[in-house]
Parts: sequence; structure tokens; C-alpha cells
Amino acid sequence: MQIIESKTRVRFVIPDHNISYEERLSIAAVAQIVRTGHAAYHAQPWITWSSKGQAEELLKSFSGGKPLLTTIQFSNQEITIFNTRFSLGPVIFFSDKTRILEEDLNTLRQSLENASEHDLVEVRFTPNTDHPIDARYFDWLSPAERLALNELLRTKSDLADLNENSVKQQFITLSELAKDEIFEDGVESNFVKGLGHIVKGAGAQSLATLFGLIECENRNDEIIAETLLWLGRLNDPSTHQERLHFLEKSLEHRSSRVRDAAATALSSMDDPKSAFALQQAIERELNPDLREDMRQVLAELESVH
Amino acid sequence: MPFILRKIRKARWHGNDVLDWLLPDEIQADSLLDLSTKDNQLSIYIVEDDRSNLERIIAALAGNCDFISNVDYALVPAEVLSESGIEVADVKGETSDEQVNEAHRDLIHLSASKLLVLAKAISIRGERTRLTTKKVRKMIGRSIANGYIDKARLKLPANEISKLKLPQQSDGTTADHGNRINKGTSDREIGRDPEANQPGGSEE
Repeated sequence: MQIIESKTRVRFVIPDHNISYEERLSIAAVAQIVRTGHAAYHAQPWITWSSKGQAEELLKSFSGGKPLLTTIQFSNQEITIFNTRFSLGPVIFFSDKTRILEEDLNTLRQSLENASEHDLVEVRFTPNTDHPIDARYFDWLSPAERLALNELLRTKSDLADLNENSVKQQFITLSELAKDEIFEDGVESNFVKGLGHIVKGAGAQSLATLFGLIECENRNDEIIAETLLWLGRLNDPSTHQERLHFLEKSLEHRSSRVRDAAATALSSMDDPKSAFALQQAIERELNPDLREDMRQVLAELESVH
Repeated sequence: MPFILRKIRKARWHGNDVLDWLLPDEIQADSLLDLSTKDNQLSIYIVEDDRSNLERIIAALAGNCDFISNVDYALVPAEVLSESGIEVADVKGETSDEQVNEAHRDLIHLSASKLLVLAKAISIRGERTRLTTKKVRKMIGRSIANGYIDKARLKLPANEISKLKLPQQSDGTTADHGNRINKGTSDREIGRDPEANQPGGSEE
């Protein structure tokens, strides 16, 4: 208890009753954590809720039946000793030789078949019970170990940057290839299929990169229009607001073709919140034909309850 | 006078009122993307002079797509074809509506100059119309309910078909091609007056 009190600067009130065996084990474990930053836990199966994309990746990784190293990170872990609650700070768990059992893989496959893009999917992991789960508590590690762990996490952040650059590069390549493609309403172009693959692979956050590319770079208007139409059709509630805002902004684009696509995409999104932006676009619009098409969209949005 | 119908993208036909580099009476080159030929042939549909089959053609075309979207189309008086010496061949269409397939034609032996005449006709004399996705969805639903479209032959994927709102019958069941409704209803819906004959105009 002295070690815990000196390290955490938390004062505990020792109770009058006898201290149970479990309490002693818990105190010993916490003492080891604040002394070394390390802990080992008995491995038991656990469940996570993952996005559809992540779950598909997990299915791919674990389908071979080979056990894999799995990490789980929490921003904080709290613990209570003698009715006093205190924080142990951020922690990362390493579970060596984790599998997803065949029956859980089958369940996962079934869940993925029935899941829509925005659903969370249950994934059940089974660790090797012969190998304990190792935990590292950042705040209590030696400086050298903390540095090493931070280095590992920094690499992860670099990977995110790498991911953004990769999305940019893929979009640019896709746009180049699409210059020879003739787009048609109701027909899924190779360009749109490619966009779908990029976002599926890089996650919904890659949309922000796409928005940036469309805004900053002087790209082909036909390709921008096709991208906007696709954004309007995407069935992803988690990005609804961002897409709506971007399409509303695109109503101000210099190209009538892009403005037309933005209005059509807003019609697909069917969100009456964009009625005001459309009304303003109608007032600005010089092309009578496009103005009429925008009015048609506005009338539909205003009839949405 | 019947019309010829060609699916287009309206934005490719914007004129010099928004494209300041385009001279008056000229059409933008991208308009020709909507008239892209294969083997010097171009696919079109014949719309009756009273436009009685217009909605049906649009529903069938939209049902032949990968997903339901807005439909932009151009209508041009069919006399343009004889005026410009464009040859027409009766070739059955490949939609899920057999009667619409009968209205399909191929414009054949097209030269670049004949194609340009057609493009100019669409630009100057043509009616270019947009139907929103919602309207198109309802039209496909009506065509299924009226038994025009064979649901089994729709190219649309299942998730798109599930979005269709099929009209409810008096017994509360959903009408589809298995429960034929008198075909006369289509005339009532699209009307006989050419002015009032815009597809989708009667549904709201």
C-alpha cells in the first residue's frame, strides 16, 4: 500500500474489517503496475463492436486460422481500492496468439452479409488461454519503455498520413483514367466503383481528403460532377452532415455542370435542411433551365416531412 | 407527329448563356457524348404523338439501370430524321417492358455530319426534360403495378427494387405485375393533352 500511495499520491483509509484474499491480490497487482507499468491478465474471450469495414478486414486477417497478435487500447483505466477510486491512466493490452474461432467466423460472415454500411458488427476473439494478456500502463513505464511505446504509436500516426497521401494519389489516378469514360445517369461507372473501393479501404475519413482535392485542385468538371452525384447517393449516416455541407457549398461552383450535379445530389440526400441553400442558389442562378431543375428539387425537399 | 426520345445529361447541353466561350447557336462538344455511336448506330425510342407511351418508356429505361437516378431526356420531332436523311431500323429494345421494346429503333449508317444535325435539332428544337429520382421511382412502381414491367427482368439490384413504392390496392396488398390492373389507367395518369403530358406530373 505504501508503494501505491507514494506513486499515486492518493491516500487510502484502511478499513477495520479483515482484508479479503481477492483484495490482497488486487492491491498486489496495482502495486506492480505503479512500480513497473506492467501487468498480466488471465486470457478470456472478449467481444468488440467494429464498423463493417473493420470487421471485413478482421475476417480477412483471421480467416486463415492462424493466431495473430491483437492489441486493444483504452484512454484510461480506473480502479477502486478500499472505496477510493483512482486512475491508472492509458493502457494497451497485447494478446498474443489470438484467434477468431471457426464458429465465430461463420457468425461474423453472416452478420456482414446482413449489415449495412453504417452498422456495427460484433466480433468475438478467443485468446490462447496458455498465454496471459500483457498490459502496459503508459504513466508507470520506465522512460525507455514509454519512449519505445510512443515510437510505436507515432508510427501508427505516420501510417495515417501515408493513408491520406495514398487516398490523394488513388483519386488522382482514378480521375486520370476517368477522362476517357462516358458517364450516364443510373449507370455505375468504373470511376464511381473506384471511389467506392477507396473509401471502403481507407474509411469514411477519406471523404475529407476527397473534399479537399475537389476544392483545391482544378479538376475536370465532369469528374467533379460525377463525384458529387456519388456523394449524394452514399448511404452512410455517419458522413451525412459533411456531405450535405459540401454539396451545399458546391451550389456556388463556377461551373454550371457542377452546380447542376450538386443540386441533383442534394435531391438524392432528400434532407429538407438544404432547402435554404437551394433557395439561395436559385436566386443566384443565371441559367433558366438549371434554375427550373433546382426549383424542382426544392419543391420535393419542402414536401419532405 | 411522333417524337424520338434519347436519354441525355441536360448539363451537357447548357448553351452560351452559361458558357461564355461558346458562340451563340453553337453547341458544346460534350453534347455529343450523349450521342455516342457504336458501329455508326444510335439507339432511340419512338414516342407517340400524344406521348401516351412516354412515361412507360422512361420507367423501362430507368429499370434497366444499375441504380435508380434522375432521368434526363430529349424529345425531338421524328420528322428531323427524314429531313436529315437519317435511316431507321426496327430493332427490338432490351428492357423489361415488351411494349417499350417494340418502340425501340436504331438510327443506322450515321455519318458525323448527320449526327451533328441531330445534335443541333436536340439543342434548338428539342425539349430537354429532367425527372427527379423520386418521380422516376414512382414511375417504375406504377409500371410494375400496371403489369407493364416484368419485375423478374428488371436489371436493378434487389436493394433498389426494395425502395420502390408500389401502389397499394384496395385490399391492402401491393400491386405488381402478378396483379394486373386495367392498362387504361396509364392514359388517365399521363393525360391526353400534350401540355399536361409531362411524365411524373400527375403523381404528387
